[in-house]
Amino acid sequence: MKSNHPLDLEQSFDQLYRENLRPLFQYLYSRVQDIHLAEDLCSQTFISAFESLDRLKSPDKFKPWLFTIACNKANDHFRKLKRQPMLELDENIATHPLQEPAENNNNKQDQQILLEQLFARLKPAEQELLRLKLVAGLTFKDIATLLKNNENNVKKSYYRLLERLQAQVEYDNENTTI
Amino acid sequence: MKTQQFEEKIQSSFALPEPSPEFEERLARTLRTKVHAQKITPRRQVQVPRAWAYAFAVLAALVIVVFALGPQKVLAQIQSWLGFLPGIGLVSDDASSLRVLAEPASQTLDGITVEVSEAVASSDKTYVNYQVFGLTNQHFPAQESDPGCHFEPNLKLPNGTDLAFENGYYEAVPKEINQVVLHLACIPGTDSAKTPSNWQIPFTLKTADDLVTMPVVLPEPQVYRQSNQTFGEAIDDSSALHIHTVVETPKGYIMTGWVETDLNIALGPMNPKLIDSNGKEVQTRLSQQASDLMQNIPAEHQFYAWGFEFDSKGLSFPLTVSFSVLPKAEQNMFEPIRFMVDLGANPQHDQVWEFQQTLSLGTAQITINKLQYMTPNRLKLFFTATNGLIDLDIQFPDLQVSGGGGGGHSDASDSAMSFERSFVFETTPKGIVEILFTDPVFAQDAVDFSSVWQPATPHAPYPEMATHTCPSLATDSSQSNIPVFDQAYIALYRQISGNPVKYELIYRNSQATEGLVLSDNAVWGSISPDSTQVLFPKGLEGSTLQNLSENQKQILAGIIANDSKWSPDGNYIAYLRGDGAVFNAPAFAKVDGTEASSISELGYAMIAGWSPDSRTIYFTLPWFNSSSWKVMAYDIESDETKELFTIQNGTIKFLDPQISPDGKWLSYRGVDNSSLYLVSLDGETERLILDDAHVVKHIWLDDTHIALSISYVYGTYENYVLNLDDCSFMRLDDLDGGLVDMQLKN
Repeated sequence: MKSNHPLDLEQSFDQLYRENLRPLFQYLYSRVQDIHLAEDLCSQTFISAFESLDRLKSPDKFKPWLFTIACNKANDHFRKLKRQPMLELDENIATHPLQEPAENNNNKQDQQILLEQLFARLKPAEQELLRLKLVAGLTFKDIATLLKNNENNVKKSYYRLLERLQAQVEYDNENTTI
Repeated sequence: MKTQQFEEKIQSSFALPEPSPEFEERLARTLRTKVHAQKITPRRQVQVPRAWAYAFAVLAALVIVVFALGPQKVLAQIQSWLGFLPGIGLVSDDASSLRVLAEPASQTLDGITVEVSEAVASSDKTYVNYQVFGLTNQHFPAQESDPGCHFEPNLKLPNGTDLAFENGYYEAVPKEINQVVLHLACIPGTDSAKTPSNWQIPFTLKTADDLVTMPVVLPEPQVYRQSNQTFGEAIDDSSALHIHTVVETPKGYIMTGWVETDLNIALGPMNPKLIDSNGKEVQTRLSQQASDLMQNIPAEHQFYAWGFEFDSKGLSFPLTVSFSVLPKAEQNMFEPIRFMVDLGANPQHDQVWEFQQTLSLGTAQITINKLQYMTPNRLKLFFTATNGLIDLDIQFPDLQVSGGGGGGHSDASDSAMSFERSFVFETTPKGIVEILFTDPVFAQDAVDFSSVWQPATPHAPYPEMATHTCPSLATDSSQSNIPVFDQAYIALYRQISGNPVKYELIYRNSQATEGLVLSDNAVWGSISPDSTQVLFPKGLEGSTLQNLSENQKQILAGIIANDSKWSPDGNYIAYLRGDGAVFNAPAFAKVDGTEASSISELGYAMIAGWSPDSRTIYFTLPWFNSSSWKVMAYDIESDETKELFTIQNGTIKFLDPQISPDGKWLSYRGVDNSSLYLVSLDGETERLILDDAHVVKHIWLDDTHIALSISYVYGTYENYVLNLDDCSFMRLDDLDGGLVDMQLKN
């Protein structure tokens, strides 16, 4: 017998696909807030990734590489929207002033609403960091690769951001609870 | 609130939906088709040393693939295909209703050309192939993690309609429309910031007057299971080797199918065997056409699909086709094993650390043989593993890995697997480095699957051999009937170790009585026209110019003479240079290494040779995304480069272009990596000299004799001299290696 060992990523395609579909779809949904659009971008991302597989030399980098493509696809989507004035307003959602908590939210928990609003007020880079960690489930190492940053810096930024958010939530809880 | 709880609260605030199962399955099907289409689409040309080019050619023979339809639907689908078009695939239209590209169309921006080179429009899809010329390393993203441009091309119709690209084809162009524009937002894979964008190439379709499709032959329902005894009981009754499609080619057939089994397969299908009813083993090849046809196997069988092409003249039917697979062994979790090595403060290029240290990972014994450092920031690890271990994960916990590759092989089912893995790091690895071996994958003994097939109708009459095409040597030809050729000096390379793979360069006469080892690590070299000197590369340092009579060596610093060719007057060498900016770009220098001069900044070139007056250097440059090469001529006195013509059917793996000593012909290897062609230097006359002859290297000896290295089995070579006048062969005896260069004895 003469056998050859397949390091080829294509051969573990099914596994890679199944492992990454859910986080990728949810990451894109968190970016575009539309199921059909998220499905579309998710399809485009996987297709682009597998068409370019021969250029990815290290299987270890697959996940950050996949999410880099996804991030670019989402950015492309928003760039296209910017060229359509009618839709440009949608992007302003992210800059709406923080609403007062505990109003008009009978169907949702106050804290969740508050978190949504706090998230909306974060800088885009901070939003992305939270999405990559908490939605995409990437490791700090993967996020560092994706953001072309040092792993320790990413870790520090993330935990500082969490501390800040947590402090704001606690502050708001204290000030809205009688 | 604890951090983890707070993270969970943020996560829930996103209110994320799950992907629907329908979407998941739909995309999976699309991707499986895509993945296979990707496998067979020529991509960016990567020039590798010849020895590796050969290795890749063999590795490419291991293919996988295809399904999504039930058997009845499959049969109906096959019946709807009227023919097979090389490069296009299966078509359901009559050839007369197809339209093709009227003439190539191109657009050039900033020195980069995109050319629409092929188009076929059927009633249900449109195939358009474009090729790109003028790309350099600089046009691609610097970071591997950056995928570059990923916009799909599309077709634009005069009425403003866009036709999308999906699964290798565009949507159908309406019958009444013949004017189409290929639109590329950017060139896929390139860095959009460094290459022109918004390409628009108008082209015209015309009726296909002389297009001939190959007939699709329905497979006879004679599929049955046959497996070795060891696993006979373990295999489910549904296990079988299925034949999916058979296409009749002018010389034989293309056959595709898949293995159906409940076994958890680690590797395969592999080791194809085709036996005719007289017990004769038939040579098969994984041709591009076979790969094209495999695309039509339904997606759910992609991973266990197979395909090949074979010549059928003289065969007795029915034929038995068989493949083997390696099932995965039961998987246990094992603790990673650690290996520490001290690389020192300043590792040097090619520095080697040897160990022969054996460690246990589960039931496997891993013997770490050697670690090698290469600039910049690369480590290569060599090790062997026993007890059926065929894969494992290797990690460097303290280092950032940015790339790498490698693989493993085994010479026999019961022998150890030899691995060679390389790793590229963000920074230079130094000091004590920890290496972790984890997640081993074990395989059990091979299981064989077979099926029987015969055509329902006899094959159409076989074509007569074209004039000027020499009959190839039969693989079982009696060596003793072929006269010996012993009038040459020869440089050849020979494998001296398997792990790591290493080749030595030897100089000898053809009687094998005067051997001289020139280098223990080189596969390129060239003998001076007077046979007194040999030039060969010496790592990244430069090249060695060795005087054979005085056994003196001169180092030509900075001249890394890959693919070097001496000018006939012996004063100059043409060679391929490489640095951080270009890879294998043509250059020339005086033989002593002085007056080095670049010919082109375009990389991935091959040097074809010199004109008889030593004034013109001929070289080839590849089109990207195709099998085409531009043939170029560079005048060393006027410093002018001319484009002569384009070779359309050259292999992208190792073209091996060679200019005949009289300067009238260019010879090269065909797209099948096996045939040999001649084309006149005006590009007007082309001749197939040897068809599917397994030629891996050739060298002109004089105007009528060509020396050939022929390889039927990877790593073994038979060397001959072909007389073009009468198609007679002479053998080069006992060389035990592949040809690098030859000069006739005076």
